[in-house]
Amino acid sequence: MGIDRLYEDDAPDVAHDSPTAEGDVPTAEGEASATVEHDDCADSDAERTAFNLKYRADVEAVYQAAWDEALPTFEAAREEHRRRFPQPERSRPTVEDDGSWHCDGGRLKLSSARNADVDRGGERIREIGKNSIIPGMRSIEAEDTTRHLVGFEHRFKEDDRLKEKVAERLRSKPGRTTAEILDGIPDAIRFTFQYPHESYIVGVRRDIERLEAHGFIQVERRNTWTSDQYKGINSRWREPESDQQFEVQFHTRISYEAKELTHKAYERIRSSAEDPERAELKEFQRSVCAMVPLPPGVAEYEDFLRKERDG
Amino acid sequence: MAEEITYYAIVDDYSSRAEPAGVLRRIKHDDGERDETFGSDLKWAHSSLLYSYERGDLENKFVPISEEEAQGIVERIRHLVGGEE
Repeated sequence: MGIDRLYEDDAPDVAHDSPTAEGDVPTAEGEASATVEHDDCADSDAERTAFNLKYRADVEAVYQAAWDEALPTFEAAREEHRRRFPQPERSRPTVEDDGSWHCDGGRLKLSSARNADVDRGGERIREIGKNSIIPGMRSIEAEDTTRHLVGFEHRFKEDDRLKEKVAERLRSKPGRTTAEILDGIPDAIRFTFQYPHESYIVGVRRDIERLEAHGFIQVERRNTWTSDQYKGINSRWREPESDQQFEVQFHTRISYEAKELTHKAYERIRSSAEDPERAELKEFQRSVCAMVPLPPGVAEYEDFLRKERDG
Repeated sequence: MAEEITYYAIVDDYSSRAEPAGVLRRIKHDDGERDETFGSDLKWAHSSLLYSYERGDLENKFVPISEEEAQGIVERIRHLVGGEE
C-alpha cells in the first residue's frame, strides 16, 4: 500500500513541479480510486497552502471512503463470530463481605488488604491526573487545532479493570507489592491524540516535543504500525513531581476506529478465549489492520526507551 | 502436529533480563495458540500479558528464553512463594 504524495515531510514549500503532483490515490488494498489534481498556476504562498490543504483533505477522504466501505464487512464478520462462539454473560466483579475482590468466577482475585490498596492507589492516580496531568494535556492540545484528543472520557481506567490488571500481575509477577504493580501500569491514565493521515508523523513529533517542553518525562515509545494486530504509536510518560506514569497514544482517524472496532475481540482474547476462537479473533484483527493505511514516513519512526532503573 | 512451546522472560521496570519478573509460555498447535504464566499459585494458567504487548501495551518486555532458563525462573518462583508461606 502506498501513495504518491507531494509532501513526504509535510514541508509547506514544496516545489510545484513535483512529478507526483497528479496521480491516482490507492486505497488500502492498492486499488486506484481517486485522482488528486495539481494546479500549476498556484504560485503564491496562499495558493500553495490552499492546495496543500485540499490535497491532504482529498487523500484523507479517499482513505476514509475505502475504510467506510469495508466497515460493513468487518461488522458482519464480527457478528458471524459471535454466532459461532456464543459468549456467556461475564459475571460482574464482586466485593465479598471480608472486603476481598473477585472476578471471572474467581479466576482473578484480590485479598481484602490488596483490594483496599488498589482503591487508595486508584484514588491517588485520579487526583494526580486531575490536578497535574490533565491540565497539562489540555494545554498541549490547545497549541494545535489540526489534531485533537479523542476518547477523553476513557482517560481513567475503570476501577474494576484496574483491579483485573493488578490481580493478573500479582499472580504473574510473584513477590511484587501492590504499589509496585500499580506503578508499573502506565495506562491507568491515558490519552489519545488523533491526527490527519497526511500530517500524522509531523504531528506526532511536534507533540512529543510539546510534552517534553511541558516537563513530562518520556519513558518509552513504541511504533507498532508494522504490526498485523495493532496500528499506532503508544508512549508512556511520567509526571515529574508525583512520578505518576501515564500513556499517550498517537492515531490517525482510521487507526483509532480500527482499534475501537477490534476492542471486543481484544477483550475476548484477553479474558479467556480458547484456541480455535482465539485464532479466529486474531485473524479478524489482522483483516482490520490490513485496511488501515500507513501514514507517510511512519515506518521509519523510531522507538524510544529511557533507562529508568537498572534493568 | 506436536505442540510448539516458546518461553519468554517477563521484564519490566522493576526487573531485568538476569532476574525477570516472571515467565510466560506460548503454546502453538493445529487449532491456534494459548499463553500461560507460571504464577504465585504455582500453576501454569491463562495470561493476557503477551497479547496486550502485541496490542501496544508498554508495561512489559518479553525475551525469548530456553526451556532450561524458564525452568530456572519457575524454581525461583517456587522458592519465593514457598518462602512467603
